[in-house]
Amino acid sequence: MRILLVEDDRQIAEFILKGLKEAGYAADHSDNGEDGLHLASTEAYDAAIIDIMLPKLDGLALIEELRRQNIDTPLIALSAKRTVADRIKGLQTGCDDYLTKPFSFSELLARIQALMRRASRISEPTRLKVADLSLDLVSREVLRGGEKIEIQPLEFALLEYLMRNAGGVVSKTMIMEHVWNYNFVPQTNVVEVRISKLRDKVDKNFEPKLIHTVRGAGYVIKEMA
Amino acid sequence: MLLKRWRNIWNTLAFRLTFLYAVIFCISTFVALFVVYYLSASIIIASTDRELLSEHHEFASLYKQNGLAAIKTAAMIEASSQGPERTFYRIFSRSGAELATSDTSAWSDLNPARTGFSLLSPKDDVKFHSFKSAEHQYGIRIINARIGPDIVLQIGLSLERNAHFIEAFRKIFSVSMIAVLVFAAVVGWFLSKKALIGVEEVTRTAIQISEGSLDLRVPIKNRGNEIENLAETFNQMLDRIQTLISKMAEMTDNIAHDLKSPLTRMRGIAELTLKSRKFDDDSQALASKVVEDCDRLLQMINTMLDISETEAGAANFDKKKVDIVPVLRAMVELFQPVAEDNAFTILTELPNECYATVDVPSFQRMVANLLDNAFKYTSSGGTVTVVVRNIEPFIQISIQDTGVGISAQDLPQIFQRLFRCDGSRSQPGFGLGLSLALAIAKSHGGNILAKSTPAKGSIFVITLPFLNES
Repeated sequence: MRILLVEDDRQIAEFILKGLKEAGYAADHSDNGEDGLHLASTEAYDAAIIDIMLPKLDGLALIEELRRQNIDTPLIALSAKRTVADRIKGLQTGCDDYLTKPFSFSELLARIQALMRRASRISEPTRLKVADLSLDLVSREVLRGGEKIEIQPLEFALLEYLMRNAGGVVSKTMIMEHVWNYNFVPQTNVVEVRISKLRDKVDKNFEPKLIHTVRGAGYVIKEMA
Repeated sequence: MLLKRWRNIWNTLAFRLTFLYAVIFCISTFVALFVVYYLSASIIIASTDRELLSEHHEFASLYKQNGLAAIKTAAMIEASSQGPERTFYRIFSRSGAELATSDTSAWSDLNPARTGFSLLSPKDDVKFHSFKSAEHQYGIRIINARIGPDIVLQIGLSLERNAHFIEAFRKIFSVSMIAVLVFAAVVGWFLSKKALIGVEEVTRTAIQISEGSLDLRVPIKNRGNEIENLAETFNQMLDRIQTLISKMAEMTDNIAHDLKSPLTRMRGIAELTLKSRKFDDDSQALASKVVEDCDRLLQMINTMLDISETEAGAANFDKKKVDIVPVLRAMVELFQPVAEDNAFTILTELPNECYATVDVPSFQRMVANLLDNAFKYTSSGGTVTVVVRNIEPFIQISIQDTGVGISAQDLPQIFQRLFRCDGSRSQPGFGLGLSLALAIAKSHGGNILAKSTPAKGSIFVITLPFLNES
């Protein structure tokens, strides 16, 4: 898997590249818009991370140009701007996701992985599986070790999101945004409480535990080796 | 109530202008009519006097030619032909002895003193005099005139006919004064309204602008220089405000960017340290703390920027007519398990539907901030109640808790940025949630009111403009 990073801040680029490498990805880096465009349009990447404020050619123009050339690499934009309007503008330009600075690397990684999974998926599965936990998207049935688990609609949506991103970390922000459609995280610990309810149903009476907390990042569902 | 209403009306410029216009118009009309009246009255008296004087001349020449007997007869004839009620003739000797008189049965009180006979001094030939008697309330005009060396003729004339004319004049006078008053009020109102239309347009624009649409301008039409100047000055002021606000937005964006890049680096390095698991537990704990503090700092910066932008009307809200009931239901459902965990109840009292014009994400944030607040202070066994009432002229969304409440001295300050009640210092939060909620409510043309009883709980009421059509 090869990822392109277009980011002019040397230190931010450094830690992203380091993180990507540790996660097992090959990464190329360019520190300005023009070089970024050249790389993105000549090389084949599985995903690209593009900063909005770039020297020579700004990020939005870069994305626009790539889409105009029919290059459909999954793109994620990085920006210091955080209003909804900016976000909508970014998404309309043609990027697939949008992340505001400062972001957690896990969140960036989770979003990239989610985008790549989405891009590589040939057909939409009807059943998601992690270890002996399975979730049927059609009958809306959740089974753990063959035993049926009663689950509320909001918990179902949360579990579905975790399982779609199985193995990848999802942050509280991602959960609020993608599962419940809020673009902020309330002070009240609604996500934590919901996760703990879900754990009570899915993990409490079973081994091994599947839902794990990743400190400073979020949650992940996977079978720990 | 009535007094207050009257004061409100009196305070409008349109009413004051109308009032002033009507008063000035009426006073000048009154003065003009009064002058006409006064002049007419004097002209009438003057013509009566001329009539009396010409009669005196006739009698004087008759006396000269034909002597006393002739004028006696003439006086009788004149009096009876003109009517003994209207006029009388008397002839006196110089000493005051009555030599002849016409029929004076309709006249009482004709003694020489009252009729002004004594006013005629030896030097005078003619003396006019007026007085009123019981039968002649409109007055009597009298001429005492010497017609011979030893003979004085006195002619009295009732002023009743003149009085009728004056009376008619007075009636016309008062009727026209009423008409003038009404006319002046109507014209005055019309004129001041017309003059103030420009001002009202400026006001309307100002109201719309205060609701956040800063790119509006007052249309400049041909309405007279003063109003045009006002509109132009107002527009210039708006241009300047808009420039300042866009500069401010640019600056905050820059600050945000400048602060965020180092924060991102710091958080990133700390997070990679945390992930790498190459360091000991103490370093891991330290890294974890750095990540947490970065997140807190970021959240604080972002919320401060959100408040500034919302207050300045610079936030890009996508306001649409939406049914807020399902939005609120979803939020209550989201918060529900937290209430269960803390063993308190969350109750709702929602109508079937309630339409409001809102930007949904910021509406959710406003309500979430109030719910956060209510949840923070409600302990086990308590209740948080969410009620929506859709009654003109407001939509009211109230969120009530049974928490510790807010003291009377803290209550006025709770919406201020970074204000935190003494008791809440230990609780998480930055004291920004309520400020942001209030800024959002205001940018939607609404408000938030807070009431609280210490130790019993608080109620926060969001008001939003009522939508007529549903």
